Amino acid sequence: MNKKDNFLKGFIKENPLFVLLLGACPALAITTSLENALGMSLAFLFVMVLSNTIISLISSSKKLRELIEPVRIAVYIVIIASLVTIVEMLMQAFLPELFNSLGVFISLITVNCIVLGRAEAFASKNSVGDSVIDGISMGLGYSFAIIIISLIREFLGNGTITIWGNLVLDLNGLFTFIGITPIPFFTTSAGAFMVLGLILAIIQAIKNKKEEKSKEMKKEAK
Amino acid sequence: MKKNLITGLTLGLFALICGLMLSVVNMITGPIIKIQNEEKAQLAIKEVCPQYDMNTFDSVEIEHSEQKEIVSILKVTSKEDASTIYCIYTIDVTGYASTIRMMICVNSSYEIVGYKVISSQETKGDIKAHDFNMTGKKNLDEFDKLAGSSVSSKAVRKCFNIALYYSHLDM
Repeated sequence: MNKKDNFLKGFIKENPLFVLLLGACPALAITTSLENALGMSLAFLFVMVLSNTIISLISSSKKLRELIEPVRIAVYIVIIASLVTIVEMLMQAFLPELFNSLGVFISLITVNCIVLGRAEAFASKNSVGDSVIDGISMGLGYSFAIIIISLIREFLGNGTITIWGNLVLDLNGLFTFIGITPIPFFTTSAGAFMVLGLILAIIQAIKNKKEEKSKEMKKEAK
Repeated sequence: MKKNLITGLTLGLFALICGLMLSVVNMITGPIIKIQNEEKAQLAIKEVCPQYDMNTFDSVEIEHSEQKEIVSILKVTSKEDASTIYCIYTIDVTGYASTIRMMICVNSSYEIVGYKVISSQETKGDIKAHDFNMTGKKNLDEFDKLAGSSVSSKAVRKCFNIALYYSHLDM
């Protein structure tokens, strides 16, 4: 896999949320506003890139790799948990309002399957450069997914889009124009599941159509 | 055996390095977080006790071992004769869905000067913004129950009860 493919895979082909369905719990819980999704994206990207980098660096030394082999998962968790705690402390100090609104879900990045999964499946077996690209790719892919969900949920649920702090885009006029009011159901957990389900259905429909097309082309070629 | 020991020590070393890293970040963020928390506490105190002024009063925070619901008491004393002017109670009581934390200020005449619901995850009614009609009161006769939320108001009532009862003992 070349560097470009390695970078692009996280967005669509191997998107952690839309394709692999990993990290769905925090994604559904915090996507009530775009601001929350952006904050979570920043935290996640930081942890993802740094954990991949550090774990790849450790694994690049043959001796060190052999030494930690029996306790490698514990070592990975210590590293990931430390990075998450750093993000938590920085957020609490410099972005306290965002810290309060994300709550426990920042700490839960520690047990996010994507971070540990990429550490074990990719970073421990590949070069530092490739692991950094993989971290950025997966981090941005996850961010892309939660931003899409939050945009849909906030728009349909509140009629607004909170970009950051007081920077709020009021789109209630659109609802008034159509003659309906925002649907608060979309800000609830059930609404989050529904949005994710609809997005997954759309992705699957596109995939099926593509597969059908390629089958037809193969038949024609025969 | 030796290999296991070395593996264990390596894990310990990683934990130590991570611990050091965290302590460095904590050295930077710790003071900022502490200042923010103090500001928050001062704002909450100012809200329940508008007369509170650090220049004219001394304050000392004490733990309360007798009543488990009392998280802390801030005793505000006069700088002139060290007499207790106000007692500000932080009280946790279990409500219908969660723990309700209240800050209640009682003066030396055992009257409630101010109160605030600091945290609550109660689903019924906006308990934080509700006026329980207790400012200036010495007892719970005129306590205003939340419409349709009697269980939560029971918890709030208990908070006031504890503050009023212990103010007689603490002042």
